[in-house]
Amino acid sequence: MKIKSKFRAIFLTMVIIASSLAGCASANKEAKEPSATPTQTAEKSEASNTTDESTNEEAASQVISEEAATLRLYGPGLFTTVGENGSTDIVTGVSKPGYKVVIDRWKEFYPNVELQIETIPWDNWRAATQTAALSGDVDVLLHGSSIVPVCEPIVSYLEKEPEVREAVGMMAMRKNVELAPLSEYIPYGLTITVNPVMVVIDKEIFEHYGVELPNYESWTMQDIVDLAKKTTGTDPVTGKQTYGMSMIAANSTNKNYIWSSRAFNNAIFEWGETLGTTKVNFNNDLTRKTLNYLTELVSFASPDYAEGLDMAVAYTADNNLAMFIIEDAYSAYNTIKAAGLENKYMFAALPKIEAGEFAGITSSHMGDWNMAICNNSKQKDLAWAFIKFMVTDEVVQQWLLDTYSIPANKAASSRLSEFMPDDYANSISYVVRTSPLEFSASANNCYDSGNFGTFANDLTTVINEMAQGNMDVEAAIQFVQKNVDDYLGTLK
Amino acid sequence: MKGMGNHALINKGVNMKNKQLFALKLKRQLVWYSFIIVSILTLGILTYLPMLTTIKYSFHDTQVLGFGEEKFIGLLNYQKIVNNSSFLKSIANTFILAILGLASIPIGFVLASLINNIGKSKWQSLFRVGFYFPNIITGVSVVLIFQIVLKANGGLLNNALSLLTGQKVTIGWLSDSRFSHLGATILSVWGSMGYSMLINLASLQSIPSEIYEAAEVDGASGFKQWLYITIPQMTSCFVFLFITSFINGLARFSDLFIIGGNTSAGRPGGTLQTILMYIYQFSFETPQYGIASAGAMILFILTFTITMINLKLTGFFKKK
Amino acid sequence: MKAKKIRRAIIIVILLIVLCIILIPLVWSVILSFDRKALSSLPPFSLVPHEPSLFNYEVAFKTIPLVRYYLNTILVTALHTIIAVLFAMMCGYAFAKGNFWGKKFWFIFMLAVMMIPFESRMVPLYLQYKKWGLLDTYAPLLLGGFAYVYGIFFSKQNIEAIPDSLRESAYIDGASEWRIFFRIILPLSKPLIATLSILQILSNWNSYLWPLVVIRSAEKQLISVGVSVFNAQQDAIYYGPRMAVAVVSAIPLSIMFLFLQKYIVQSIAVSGIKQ
Repeated sequence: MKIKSKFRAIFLTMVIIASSLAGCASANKEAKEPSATPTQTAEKSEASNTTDESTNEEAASQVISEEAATLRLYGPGLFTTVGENGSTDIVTGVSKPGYKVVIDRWKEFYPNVELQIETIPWDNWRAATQTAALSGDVDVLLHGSSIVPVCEPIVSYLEKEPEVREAVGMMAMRKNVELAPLSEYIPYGLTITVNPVMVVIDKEIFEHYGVELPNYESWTMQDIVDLAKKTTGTDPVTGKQTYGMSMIAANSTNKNYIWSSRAFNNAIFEWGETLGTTKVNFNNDLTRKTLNYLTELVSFASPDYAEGLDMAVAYTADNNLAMFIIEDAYSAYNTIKAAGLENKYMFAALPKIEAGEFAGITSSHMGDWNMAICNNSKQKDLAWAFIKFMVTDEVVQQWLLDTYSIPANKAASSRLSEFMPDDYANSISYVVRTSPLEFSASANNCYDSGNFGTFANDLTTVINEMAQGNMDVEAAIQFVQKNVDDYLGTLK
Repeated sequence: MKGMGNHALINKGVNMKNKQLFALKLKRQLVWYSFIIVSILTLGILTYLPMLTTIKYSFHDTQVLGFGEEKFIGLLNYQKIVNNSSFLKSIANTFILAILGLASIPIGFVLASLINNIGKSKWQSLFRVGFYFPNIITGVSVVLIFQIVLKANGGLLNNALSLLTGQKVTIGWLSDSRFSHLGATILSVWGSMGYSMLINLASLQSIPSEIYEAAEVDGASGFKQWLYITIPQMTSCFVFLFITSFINGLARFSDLFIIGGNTSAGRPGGTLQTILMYIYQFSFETPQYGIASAGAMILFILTFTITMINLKLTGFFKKK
Repeated sequence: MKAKKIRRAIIIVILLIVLCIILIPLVWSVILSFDRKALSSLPPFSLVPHEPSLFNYEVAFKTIPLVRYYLNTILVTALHTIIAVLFAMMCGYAFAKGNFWGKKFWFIFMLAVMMIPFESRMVPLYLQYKKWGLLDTYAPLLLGGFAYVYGIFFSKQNIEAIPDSLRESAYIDGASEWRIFFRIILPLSKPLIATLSILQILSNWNSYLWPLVVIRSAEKQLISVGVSVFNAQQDAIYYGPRMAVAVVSAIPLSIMFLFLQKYIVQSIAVSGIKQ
């Protein structure tokens, strides 16, 4: 009997622990229950918004919403990086203010709308975000617009407030056959910060080899290969081995395909009524040209490139890469600045697109950090008010700049030259300025990572295999084409 | 009359006894069930119930679970997945990696034999702990270190091989698809050989010493003793290790996920994509929940078969 | 005698060399964690830090609430381990010694799901917990412990090896099965408890995706997610601090292992693995 009661006691304890934990949760939940009618809130704020962006701040601050609600945000990205109270990079010593700034500013307009920001790391973020969206208590998905099925298209909001479209240089564009023909884009979220793909050039290595610095507004794809070839070898001054070109990391080399196929205007999609009737003409001569181009360029990379370990000394005085392509221009600049090497490097944009609708602009695309409205949110209008606030409010734009991000807001990103020298700021501005609003790096006429199954992963596979000499261009094309055809076959 | 009455009485008594016996039996049944009922309920609610959802969706066309329309499409998902070369490749990868991972058993056996040879002492416990250590420390940081140890240009392993062979070795153990199965195996064997060593050692030490003494009397050499006594005595230990290592190997996921740059593409060249990673890919990265569910069901059938074989091997069905 | 001694010495030397080679990656990570120079680029391999410093540890403790994550993880791990091991042994006892209807069926019922990928039932499971209102509590992390399948299998193997005579004499004294379980089986199974606990603690300590998904408030989060957040807050892979975090999170495991390791060997020795 004694033992039985002992056991019972253990069991009871467990039940109590479990239920008390459960109790905590439900208590929290009740407190957070939104009691407002969000539509009203949003209408008020809409009415207050004038079309002139520069007066936005004063105008918006006049309206203070009385309704109480909780707006829930979930996802990875900048908010995680800085944390609520800011973070300091341990090497560059760069401090970034936390997202408390955003919350405080938001409170000025919506004192009764509590912002609840739940940040997650990038590891497994897609799984976590999808699951969180499913729970039904998330309103804004941070970086969520690439998970199209869980996002609300923002077309109707943009129609009502066209000034938002005017204010930004980029939006999160996706395709949806139910809303528009596949050849067109649907905005699925607002881009908050942009990450243009830039070439970092080590001016010293170029000088050592006696190679003239390129003019990025006029150089060609062939020029890059020639320059890489000339700067690969033994540095005539230091006597050390240097490498001409290190592209975006081998692990995500599909991104190299994005810019190079765009530069060659290798449009492969023949859009049909639906995805099932869409044809992908991957097997063509321009693909051959693109893949061969990338393979040739990889041959000028450091032997550590395949493992992603070639950038170890990239931002030090011992740098051995004459050119390298990066996606995080601002933090790269910070690292360079912290190392006191501002005079050693410069940023360049990738060459111009050779043909097609975008001919003549740079092939540097932009990655982004975006915000989307979750399509099962019950406060979509309030969620819209928030993401609009993130791209238009001046205090937020200043905060973005302070966190060393490049805002999608055009007025704010044009102030970049206040923060870095011309060698760096000009080329970034050039890319941000000339990138068409109606373009998405992850879903365009040359490349699409979202709608064609494992297309992006397959590209990474074949480009790396070609670089290792394990696959020739024909086999690579057959492999990708077959996978994409198989995938499209399953949609019929 | 008296006799008859007696008989009836006895009958009644037997009936009573039967009833009591039945009640007793029922009680014993209930007692045994009281031991397992919580676990059964937990599995039912937390594993089998969600699995029903998985079964349901394996017959539906759906992208992200809970969003968009769900269309019943019968066996189409299964048809798609069985004809998908990546899925077949992922099954092959899984089995190749699981089989290569079995190398930890002979390595563990050799280590255990050597450690056993030096007799019980401080040294023995040092080696026992030392060799087991890699098993405790897993995760991202180990993979990070191994990416450097196994890199093509100037990695520690390649440097060592260059020294040994006298030629410059530049094998991309984790970046060249021709060698990635081997590289990934080095990583897993490094982590699991301590476990294998421990189990081998325990089994070695439980072989009765009388057998060896008898062999010594017969004049059998050390090697002959090892071949004719040790190996046969170790069979059941090898079977156990084979089963557990194989199951662990089939369930490999997180280290390969990290090697592939936090994606389930199984880089390099898709050679490290296991079935689990394939399922993950279609659950979350390129969401096709129907296909992922079909993959999970196929994996369940595979697991079930392997488990039944295991039970046969471990003799669960042999009635004592 | 002398030849034997020499042979023993040679074996010890060989084993030492092999051990050193095998421990290189571990030793190196520990060294890196004390090296101020190990940042975005790795210093060449060496057996002492290039610039010894505690900087990496300072950074790790300053950047994230490591202590809090630590305590949360210890709480969850301890509770989960207690639950999992106790219930696994109860089942193991029933399957090893019991005789009841459907025994074979229930055993297969339990083992069949050993390899079902958690990822494939994660989303439906999440929805269940949401329905019960248990998200953002530790319940989703703990309740699964009531059915620890591998532990059940392993316990059955071990408990089978305990001689029946012990039980029989207890029967004669009129003891119930529960009494036998707590008074005889549990005390005899210390090695088994130790082994299962180690396995449980290891897997709990490293689990990442499920805590990431079900725990929403930062102050309740576990160390595996905390480490990942730490990595996310840096602009590049800084090896030193990463290794420091890894070392810190591995310390409790290592200490525990040192204490429990001799039981592991025993439990393996008594289980059904050997002849």
